[in-house]
Amino acid sequence: MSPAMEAYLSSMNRSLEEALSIAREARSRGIDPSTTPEIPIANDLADRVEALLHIPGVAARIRELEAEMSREEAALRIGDDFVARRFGETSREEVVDHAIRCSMALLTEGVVAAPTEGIAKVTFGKNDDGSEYLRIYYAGPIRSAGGTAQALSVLVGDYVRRALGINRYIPRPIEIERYIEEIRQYNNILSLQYAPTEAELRLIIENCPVCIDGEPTEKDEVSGYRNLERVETNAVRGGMALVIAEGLALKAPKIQKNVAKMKMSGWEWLDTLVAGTSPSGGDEEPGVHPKDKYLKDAIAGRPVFAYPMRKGGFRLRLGRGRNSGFAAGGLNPATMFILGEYLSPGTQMKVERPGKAAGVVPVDTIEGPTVLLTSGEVRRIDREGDAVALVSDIEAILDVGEMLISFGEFLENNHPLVPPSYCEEWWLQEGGPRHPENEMEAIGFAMDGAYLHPDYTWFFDDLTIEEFRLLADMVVAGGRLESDLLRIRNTPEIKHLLEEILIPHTVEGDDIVIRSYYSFIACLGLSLDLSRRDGWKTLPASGNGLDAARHLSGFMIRSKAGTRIGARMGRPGKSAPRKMKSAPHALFPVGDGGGARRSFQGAGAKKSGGTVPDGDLLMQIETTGTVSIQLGERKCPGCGLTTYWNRCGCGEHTEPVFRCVHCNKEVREDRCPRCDAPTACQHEVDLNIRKEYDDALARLGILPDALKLLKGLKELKSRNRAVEPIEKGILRAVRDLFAFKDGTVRYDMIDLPLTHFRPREIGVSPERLRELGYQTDMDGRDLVGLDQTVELKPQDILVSRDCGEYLLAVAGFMDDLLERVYGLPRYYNAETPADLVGQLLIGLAPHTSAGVLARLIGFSEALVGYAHPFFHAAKRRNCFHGDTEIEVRGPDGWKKLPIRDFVVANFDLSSPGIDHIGTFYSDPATPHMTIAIDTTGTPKMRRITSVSVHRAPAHLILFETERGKKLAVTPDHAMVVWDCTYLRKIRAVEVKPGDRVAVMEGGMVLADTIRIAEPTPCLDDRVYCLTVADDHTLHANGIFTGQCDGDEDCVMLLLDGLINFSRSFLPETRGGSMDAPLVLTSRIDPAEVDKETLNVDLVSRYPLSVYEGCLRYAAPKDLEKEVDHVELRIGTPAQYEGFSFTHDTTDISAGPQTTMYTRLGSMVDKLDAELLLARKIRAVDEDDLAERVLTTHFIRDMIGNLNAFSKQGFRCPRCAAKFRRMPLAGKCRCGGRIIATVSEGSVKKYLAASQSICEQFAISEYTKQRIRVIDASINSTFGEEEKVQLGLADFM
Amino acid sequence: MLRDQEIVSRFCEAGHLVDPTVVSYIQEKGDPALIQTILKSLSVNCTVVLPSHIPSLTQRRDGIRFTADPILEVIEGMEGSAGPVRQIEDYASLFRNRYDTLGSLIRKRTGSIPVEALIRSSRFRDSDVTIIGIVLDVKTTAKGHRIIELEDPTGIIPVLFNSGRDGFADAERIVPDEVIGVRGKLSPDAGLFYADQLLRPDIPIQHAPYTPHQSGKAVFISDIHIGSDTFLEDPWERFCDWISAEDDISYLLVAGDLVDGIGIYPGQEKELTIQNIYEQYDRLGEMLATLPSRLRIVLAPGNHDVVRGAEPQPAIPAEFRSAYTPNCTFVENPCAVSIQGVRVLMYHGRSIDDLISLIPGARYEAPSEMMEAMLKRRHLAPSYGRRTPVLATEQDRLIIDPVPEILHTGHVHITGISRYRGVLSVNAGAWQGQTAFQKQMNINPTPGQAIIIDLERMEPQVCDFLSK
Repeated sequence: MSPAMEAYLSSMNRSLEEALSIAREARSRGIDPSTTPEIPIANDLADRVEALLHIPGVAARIRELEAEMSREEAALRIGDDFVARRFGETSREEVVDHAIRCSMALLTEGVVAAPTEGIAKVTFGKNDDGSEYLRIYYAGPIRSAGGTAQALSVLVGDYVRRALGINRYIPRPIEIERYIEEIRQYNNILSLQYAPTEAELRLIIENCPVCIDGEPTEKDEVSGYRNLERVETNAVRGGMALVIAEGLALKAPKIQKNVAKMKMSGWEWLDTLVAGTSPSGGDEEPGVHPKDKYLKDAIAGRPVFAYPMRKGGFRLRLGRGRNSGFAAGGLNPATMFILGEYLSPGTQMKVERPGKAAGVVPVDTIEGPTVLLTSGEVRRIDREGDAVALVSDIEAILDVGEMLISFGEFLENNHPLVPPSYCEEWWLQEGGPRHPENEMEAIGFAMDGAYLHPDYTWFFDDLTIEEFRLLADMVVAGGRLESDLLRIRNTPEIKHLLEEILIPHTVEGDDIVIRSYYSFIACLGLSLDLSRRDGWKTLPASGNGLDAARHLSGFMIRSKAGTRIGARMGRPGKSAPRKMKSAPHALFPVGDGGGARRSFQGAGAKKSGGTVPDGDLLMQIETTGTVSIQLGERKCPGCGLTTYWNRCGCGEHTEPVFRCVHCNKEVREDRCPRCDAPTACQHEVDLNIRKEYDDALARLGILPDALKLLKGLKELKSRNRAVEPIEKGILRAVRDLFAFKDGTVRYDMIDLPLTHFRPREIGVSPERLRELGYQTDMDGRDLVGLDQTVELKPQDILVSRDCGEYLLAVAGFMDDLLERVYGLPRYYNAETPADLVGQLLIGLAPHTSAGVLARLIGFSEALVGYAHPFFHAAKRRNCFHGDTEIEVRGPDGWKKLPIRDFVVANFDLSSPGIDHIGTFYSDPATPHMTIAIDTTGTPKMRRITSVSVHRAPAHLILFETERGKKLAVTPDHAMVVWDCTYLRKIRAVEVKPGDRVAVMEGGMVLADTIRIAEPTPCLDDRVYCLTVADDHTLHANGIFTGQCDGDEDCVMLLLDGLINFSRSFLPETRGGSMDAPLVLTSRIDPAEVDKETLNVDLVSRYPLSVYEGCLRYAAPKDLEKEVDHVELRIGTPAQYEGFSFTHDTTDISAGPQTTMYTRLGSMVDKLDAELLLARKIRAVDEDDLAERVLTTHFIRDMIGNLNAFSKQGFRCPRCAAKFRRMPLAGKCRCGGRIIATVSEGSVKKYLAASQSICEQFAISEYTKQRIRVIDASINSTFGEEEKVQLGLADFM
Repeated sequence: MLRDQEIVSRFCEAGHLVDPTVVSYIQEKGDPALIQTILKSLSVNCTVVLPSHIPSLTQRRDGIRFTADPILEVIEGMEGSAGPVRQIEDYASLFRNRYDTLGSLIRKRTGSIPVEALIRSSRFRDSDVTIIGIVLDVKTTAKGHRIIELEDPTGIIPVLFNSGRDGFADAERIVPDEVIGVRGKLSPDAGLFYADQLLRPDIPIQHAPYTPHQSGKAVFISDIHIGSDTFLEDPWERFCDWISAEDDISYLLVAGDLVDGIGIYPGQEKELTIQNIYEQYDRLGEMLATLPSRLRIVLAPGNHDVVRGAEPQPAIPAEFRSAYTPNCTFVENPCAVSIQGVRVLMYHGRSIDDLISLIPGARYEAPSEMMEAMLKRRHLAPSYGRRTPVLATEQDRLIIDPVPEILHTGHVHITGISRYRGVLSVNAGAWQGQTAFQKQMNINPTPGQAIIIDLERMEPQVCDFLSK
């Protein structure tokens, strides 16, 4: 490590220490749930394991073991220490329990929930011969461990069991049948990644030495083998099914390897299993066949920019910009403007290849789009300014420009290299002497044996030989040279052909005028007097236009078209403060009195003269601001007083008191020793909200009038039911900040990679940057100028301006808090966002529990968070995933498609990928499918490309729909909601009641309305990480949700996290504490981060061999050594610095600031804009697109809702009660009227729009008939009299 | 309550075996003396005690039918009776109608009290009472008992079925929205009702089917699926040839899914040989036109047909019928037709999917068990809101009342025949081979079969046309 990097990392550590000491001081005041900061700092895996499991001393032992052996071995060996009871285990159960949890934590990198939440308990059962056997109860979150860790946990159990002298499990025949039935059934409910055959299951269960048991996770019960003596439940046990099917069956080879290494006996049966389950399925034929998967979910509202491999689509430019690579693709900012301003930095694009999605970043050193203007002129637009000026004159977009994709992306996706667009950096390497001054010089170079320079290479390969001949004929017939211009008589035919080859030209009067014509006529085989040269006599009749041009000109010419890549718009970028659904200022309950806004003022108000019906009497009531509410019971160790505050009136910090829920006795254990009942920390308190609120205001010296609204929570849901001082909420409220469930204030941003920046574009002076350790630019010169390019340090980040402002407010809040509540000096003292530069932040990716320490060094104009790829990778997993009650249906027996196009090379069956934050990726051994939904609402059978895993959440958002569907997901989970005609992905926390989601019912997709969305504990939750091909959605409990794409992160101020975060606020639920910074990683080790970063390439130019490899569709793996990338540097000092890039860009924030998509309001506008753009772009087939919109979205919605109409649930608008069916009484129990959840309007809403699309576009007869049939069904359901069709706009 | 074992052993001691129906009858009556009465009336050589042996319980045969009327008559569900929804609130009257009709069937056998009276008044504490309600929710407790939320017009009460007691297997088969009666006791805190016995509307134990005086044969089929690439053309042709040749067959009844339809499931267009919905119906019409004109054909719609999915489904609209001969009668789903006085209840059977998913141990291979489940509940589609869409109507058109002689369904593509308390249930197979969906769901259909019933003798017979 270089001294500079050393200094950088240690300065980070110093600042962290400083912040920690302030936080400790503040916490010692005792007003928080605990007296020390609750985010442990972890530097390595061993630390994290120890922090996760709370077993002191384990970290040291893990380090010792890891020094000697592989991680898997260490995970088993650590069992010996537990058997020896080295860590204070008191019972045999505890020994096994600790051993299994610890090894799982090790195997899952200490970040996922599986070790803590995935194993419910461990007990011993009795075999029929009287001996004992070990039972491990797996719970739903075991999924987060991934197959290998799941399977190895069984192995660990076996290992420890032997050491304890416990016999193996001898199953009864009836139990084996039960397993088989149950796993089958589980697979039907929640599609397993791999459904083992009956024979495999028998083999596993008969031989597995440990009894794999589980908690019931499903509502469904088995129908056959019920009420067995040794199986506690009739319900389906998901954890058990996962461990057997996705663990033991799927990962048999991996266990076999470990068994062999550890020389364990009793696992010989694995040989049979492995022999029987060799993975099937070959790879799809590599190469460049059009792939329209990304289009399958093309949709209303989100435009398609190019059909697969179609002329005029994105041309591949091979290279990495300083802001691209790592799943981001560069586009010329002009392209972003020309394409309807739909793309802005951070917008996600779905692409044909090499990956599936790409974040859009501006790179202005690549080519922009070529357009046909209304004047008839064809020109390429490379500059942002030109694009903005010309956008209204565009008749057609002939070519959408280049897309910069790095070699590393091909490597990452294991996609064969494909020919890129011919470019200068390539040309220079194969004989091009220097950039040609003009066309004559370029032709001179070509005559001297170099390739024809890309700037003067036209797209002859897009012409057939006939078209080429026709073009030459017309130039010969109608062309003339005049004052160094080529003028050709304008006919529609020639105009069309010139547009095909994208040669810039203008139209003057009757003539087409070409200014740069030398290479053109040379390629056409014409001499300067436009007569045919001799080559024409020998022109072969086969080949395409490019072959002809080569032959006729005698030049070496490469294809300028290269490979076209199709793309459509994905999700828009995002940059906004994190808000919970009801967005509280204070984590303090106000009960029902606060109304829908949970307002303190409302709850505390004196309501007199109100009446409530009590039976037939109307009672006069008067409230005095006192509410009765459940709060945590705490006791002061000093004076023994019982309170709910964290600090007693006497100044002492209080401790939570847990009581048995049955006998109400105070107990210290988790369960009551007498009743074996769970314990709870709660008591009902008559709380005078008004007084507490007034007191808090008074203590802060804030006048009651200064604060209009202070929002609290309705009720507490954490185990301790801890509250925070109301002062914190007040101070947040005055700055309009909202607390997240864990007490922190966060800002969410899309993240983009950045390896180099310029002081100018981040708005920070070189002087300040030098203070921050940026002494030199990337070339080693002293940093003095605003435009020098500087290499970004791995833990430094840029945030958007908006975010800067928000963080400034948070900093102000923190300072107020320190000063007025904790009595400490102000810390940030920031007046402008710029004052925050250099401060430390915590970055957190969705679904993770490990924050990463970051330093703020500047701001980007674009609404994105730019940071070093390492930083993103340290927080993130690339895998998409769903969580919690995800229901995937029906791969069982579905034809096993041999598609493995997304299997990343290093993730083969025997070695699943593990990323730094504990995500295991494992690709399915057998391809499996699930029903995904595309953005138009079409259900799709989709392959599950991998299963990956995460820590389970502490807190879930429970959605309930009008139709009675329930789904609990993590707050960051991507939900798909109807945005008129397509499904938009938004985070679960943003889903509000009233939002429409797509649900699956009876094989139909229909729209349903979210009735309740609230953070809540949910007993049946699980964490679930599937990657579903293409659509990245799946339906869970019938509700379609997305997977989290994982590139939207949040940041919070370090001090905010250290002081205000408390586990005690996190809702009590199985699933742990996803999304909360349970651990803070202070230093990024590139060796431990997401594997994707390893494929970020670092060179300033690709060698010729790479381009040559592209031409022969070489596998990127074969050229791995040719291109320096992170993986080659791991473990050397160069792993942190000395990076380079192939393509610079002027400004990392260029392009539209926000996407048009979010600017357009109504669906009508969006659909119109999309179809308009589709008509303009040459690479898009608008009729096909319109039909897709109909079949995949409109029709499905209508059919679904029509069906749903007659199965619908009801609800009471007054008390929010919901009814699966109409109650006999016809009214709610509260006396309220009951209303329908599916309205006639929602069934009919797309009818008029569909009919109008049928008229405007060439739609197939089949689709038209379907719309007619739907129309008839709607009439038959609602009656015909209503002749006035409502338009789409009526429902917006 | 009398326990099963007690009753059985009482008969055993007397040297007789006993039919379960008799056991439940005695339980329902709750009168131990009845056993003695029955025993007395038995002849010595009677081994098994059947319902017919119960004195005072003579089989009641419904003999008053106006068979002078047309031999084929649509009694209920004639074209045009399934109108559009009036107002969504009609669901209240629909369930009320279901409760009233089916509840009264139970009430005929036992007295009952309203739920509210039970909860509010202390009069009924400690005494056995019967409540009748419509099931709101079904749950299993941690200990394996069943808790049913039972709703009647006055209130809702949770009812506990103890897993250790007699008849629990029946309680496990309670599905949402069926009407049941429960005999039992209220818990001391009035918060729970402990069930002793479950009463269903059921077919009366003394029911005996009507038999016509004329001979005649009817053929029952379903699920033709014209237009699908899995439509079994050859077996269908063989069937048509056969039926044309059989002179004594006068009726052909089709219980829905006449054609494969369009847009029924995603990607269907790839599995259609006829993509035009009009052509699909025309093709069937042409095929049926080749059959003898004496044959009366009854055509009901199913979920693949062109009409709305919500039940009751209207008949196939006139615009699709241009190719059909006058001997074809288009009816609704469900519908009741009388052929020679024999009442046939035709229902496509979409609710079978729901019932299979709700009833433990139910299998697609045995659809007739689900039909029996319908008969016991006296309802064609008891559970609302699952896969079977039911339109909000004032009357519940899916109630099985009066009791038919034959219940005819389809939908699952698997032939099944059973007889329950005199009612003959026939689920006709399909004329479509195994579809990709069925393969995925591991459903093995029995295509190419027709069921012939001799109306006079009520004897069903399965004819297989799959292979030559």
